[in-house]
Amino acid sequence: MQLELFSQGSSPVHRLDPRVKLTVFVPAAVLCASSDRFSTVITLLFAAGTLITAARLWSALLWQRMLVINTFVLFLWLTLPFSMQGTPVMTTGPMTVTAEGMMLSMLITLKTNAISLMTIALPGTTPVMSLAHALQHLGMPSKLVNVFYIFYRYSGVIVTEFETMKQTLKARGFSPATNMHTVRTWASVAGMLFIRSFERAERISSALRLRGFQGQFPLMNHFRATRRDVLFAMVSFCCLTILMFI
Amino acid sequence: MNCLEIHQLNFSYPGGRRVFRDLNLSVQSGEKAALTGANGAGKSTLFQLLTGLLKPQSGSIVAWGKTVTSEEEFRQMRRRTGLMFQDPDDQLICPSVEEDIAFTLLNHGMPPREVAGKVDEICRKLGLAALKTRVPFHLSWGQKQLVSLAGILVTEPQLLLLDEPTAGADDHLKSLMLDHLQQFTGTLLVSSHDSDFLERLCSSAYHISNGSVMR
Repeated sequence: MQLELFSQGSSPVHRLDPRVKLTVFVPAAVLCASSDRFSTVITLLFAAGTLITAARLWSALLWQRMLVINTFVLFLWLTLPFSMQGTPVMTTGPMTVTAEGMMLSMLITLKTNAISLMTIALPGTTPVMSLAHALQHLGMPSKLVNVFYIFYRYSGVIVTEFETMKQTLKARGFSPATNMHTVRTWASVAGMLFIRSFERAERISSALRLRGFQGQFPLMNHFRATRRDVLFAMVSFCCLTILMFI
Repeated sequence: MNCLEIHQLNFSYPGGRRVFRDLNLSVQSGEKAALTGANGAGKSTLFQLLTGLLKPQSGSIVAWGKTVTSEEEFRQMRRRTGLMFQDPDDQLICPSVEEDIAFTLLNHGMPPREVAGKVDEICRKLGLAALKTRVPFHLSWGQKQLVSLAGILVTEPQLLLLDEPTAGADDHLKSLMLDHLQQFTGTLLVSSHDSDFLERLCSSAYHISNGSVMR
């Protein structure tokens, strides 16, 4: 599953209490997103990189992920340096690149990468069920947590149904083209997928009622914060506080 | 004593399709009964009515000598009943086989240590010990069906309702299911089109046709 690509492992980061990971991740991400200082953002990027190293996650898969994220950032570089007013650095025809535009693009790039790496290193190293539980422990309403978990659980099933429908279309001689028949076919597929999802939702609801579900997913192994978790949280909060005020 | 009795039950789906008209049925405790009927005859609907997942327009359901009408009464009845769905993906919801098998017991408030012991035992019985830490959604269809069955049998139900348990199952899985279901001592109601499986498992049969049941 897409959300759990990095969740398996036995590194110190993987073993951290999910509640601690979320409690550190949220303020760190907010600080990174709201800061306009390069020093703060670079420090957080470095911290995120350190966590990734500690989680032993540097791999081709991680680089692929970062490449996808930075592809979107590239579009920013194609517009922002040209559209922001400020000190001209370079002129190409009617377009002028400004120093302020370049700096802002760089800042956003660093922020994006720092937050992405933090997301992979902290919530990304936690199985989704544990993440859902941690959210519940941290006061998120049960209904939202259940929607998050059930969406995650069944998105894969719906994708599989969509793939089966695509194969059926292929087997029946359908090949997409730019015409009304293609539009109608895809509309039918979307409608059928919606109906199937709705019917499945009803069956899942029945199954949950049958199995005595009372609005919260029970856990066999409950969270227990260790001294290491407390230490990680304290060090992280101290660093974030310093970064906020320097 | 009858485990289950249905009196004069009428049920139609919203939109008008009438499924049952004055349906009567009684199943004795310990009976292993087959439920047959054409596609769309109402076999799955009957299971949903019996467990209170659907509400009939009229008629009554009596389980273990007690008329069941309110949601609370059905909830109590469901604690003693296991229903296996046709598609195991509807039933398997937890991120590991072990947690999924434990799900119902934990919902019923059993202490996790006791649950762990019961899960170990049922996994050993059904040969699922090696799959305990696996993600249920990544298992084969047959393995998913076995995990669904384990999640039901672990609760030690007195009434077991199986909706097309052999759909998509290979011969090995069928014989494995048969072995375990033959040892089941409670009341069993199995809906299936697999006549060989039904013959080997069940001692009586009910046929649904035109909204009523014939023995």
